[in-house]
Amino acid sequence: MKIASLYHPKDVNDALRVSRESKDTVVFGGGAWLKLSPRRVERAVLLDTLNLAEIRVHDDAVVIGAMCTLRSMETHEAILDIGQGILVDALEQIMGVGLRNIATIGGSVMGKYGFSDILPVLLALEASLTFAEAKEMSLESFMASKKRMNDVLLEVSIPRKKAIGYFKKVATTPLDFSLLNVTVVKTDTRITVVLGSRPGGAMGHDVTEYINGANDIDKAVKRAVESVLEAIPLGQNVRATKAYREQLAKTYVRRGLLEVMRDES
Amino acid sequence: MKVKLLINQRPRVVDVEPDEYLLDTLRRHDVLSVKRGCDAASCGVCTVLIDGKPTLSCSVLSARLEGKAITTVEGEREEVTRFYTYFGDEGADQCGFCNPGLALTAISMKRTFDNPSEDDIRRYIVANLCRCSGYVAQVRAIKRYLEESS
Ligand SMILES: Cc1cc2nc3c(=O)[nH]c(=O)nc-3n(C[C@H](O)[C@H](O)[C@H](O)COP(=O)(O)OP(=O)(O)OC[C@H]3O[C@@H](n4cnc5c(N)ncnc54)[C@H](O)[C@@H]3O)c2cc1C
Ligand code: FES
Ligand code: FES
Repeated sequence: MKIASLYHPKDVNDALRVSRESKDTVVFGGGAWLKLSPRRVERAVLLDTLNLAEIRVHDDAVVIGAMCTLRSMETHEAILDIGQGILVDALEQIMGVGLRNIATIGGSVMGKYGFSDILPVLLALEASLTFAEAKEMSLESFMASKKRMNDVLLEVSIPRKKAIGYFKKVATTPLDFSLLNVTVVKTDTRITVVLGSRPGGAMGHDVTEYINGANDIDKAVKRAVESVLEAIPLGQNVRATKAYREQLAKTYVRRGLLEVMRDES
Repeated sequence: MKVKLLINQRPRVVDVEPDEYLLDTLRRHDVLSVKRGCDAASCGVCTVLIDGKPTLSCSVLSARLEGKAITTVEGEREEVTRFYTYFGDEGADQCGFCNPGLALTAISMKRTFDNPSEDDIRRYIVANLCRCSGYVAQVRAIKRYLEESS
């Protein structure tokens, strides 16, 4: 990316105002992804001095500032606690520490990358977002919306619920994007399966009705897996065929469900 | 624009373009141990320590680093010499292009972890690519360096 000038806003309203002044302005997270873009922009809005890099722990939620790096997240105790470390499992599989010390959670959410290993886990954990203008929004609505969100993301909030999690990234090499990733999260009330890198954006499906109260677990898991494959479309790209993704999903959704149930017993 | 940096413990005021990356700034100021490989956040050869944390210098805008301490192998001579003894002993060194980035990553590991396992080591250096070795000797060398020089 070619950048003509940098702008340090004095507060979030200033950041929002300036970011909307022209199409040639871009909000910067860590900038690792933007660096790869061939675009030329007049102005890069840097959020570095707006105190958005902290992680705050409340009774009911862990709140992560948009400028928090992926590495700061994975080394934070409160994040390790979530879903028995499921978020850390996913973060640790993104490139190396050198990149994770740059890439931010804000850029990871706002990029809405189809290949993301973070969004599926945040979706399964029922995360919500706070924007400068739109204020609160569930990550689910954000992901479902086709509209480009012309706003500044301030925080990502993850509810602190008792949860058991499973995350599997299937990739050709440790540094490659996922061919498919599978997240399963079980809370006291819900079992959610999310598939990411389908190759489109992450999508979730609630399988609680198949599992809770079932006598024959093998049968229940089989029906749950079928329902996931019916509800979440998988497709083809250069990385994998639709048929291969379906095979992967069958195997890993089953394993994930058995694992979150085993962990409970 | 002017940015104040602490490069290898020396305060420097450098003139940078808005879209200049740290890798270019360092090389322009004769810090030549820092290498350019992919220039796309994918190979790790440009790794430096920013306030002690391993970071890809090809992907950080210099103008964002006001007041930060940047360390390369030139600023860690003693520790790097110690590290390379193990590298030499274990035959982990071939063309050497990946070594500066790998050395800084290993040094940061020494300062971050207590007793890392071989798995911890492999995970931590996973994105420091080496086109010559098969990583086996490198992992062996890092393991000995972390165990014996702490
Ligand atoms: C080489 C490489 C390999 C990668 N591999 C993986 C992988 O395997 N799995 C994975 O999950 N991810 C991967 N990623 C993505 C990475 O984890 C980050 O998600 C990505 O770099 C974006 O984060 P950033 O801070 O660099 O964002 P930036 O590059 O700064 O921004 C990305 C986008 O978000 C917008 N933005 C950033 N912050 C805000 C904000 N606060 N408000 C509004 N808009 C904002 C920017 O305008 C831009 O459109 C990879 C990235 C790279 C560079
Ligand atoms: S040159 Fe920076 S990661 Fe390859
Ligand atoms: S020794 Fe040649 S690239 Fe590593």
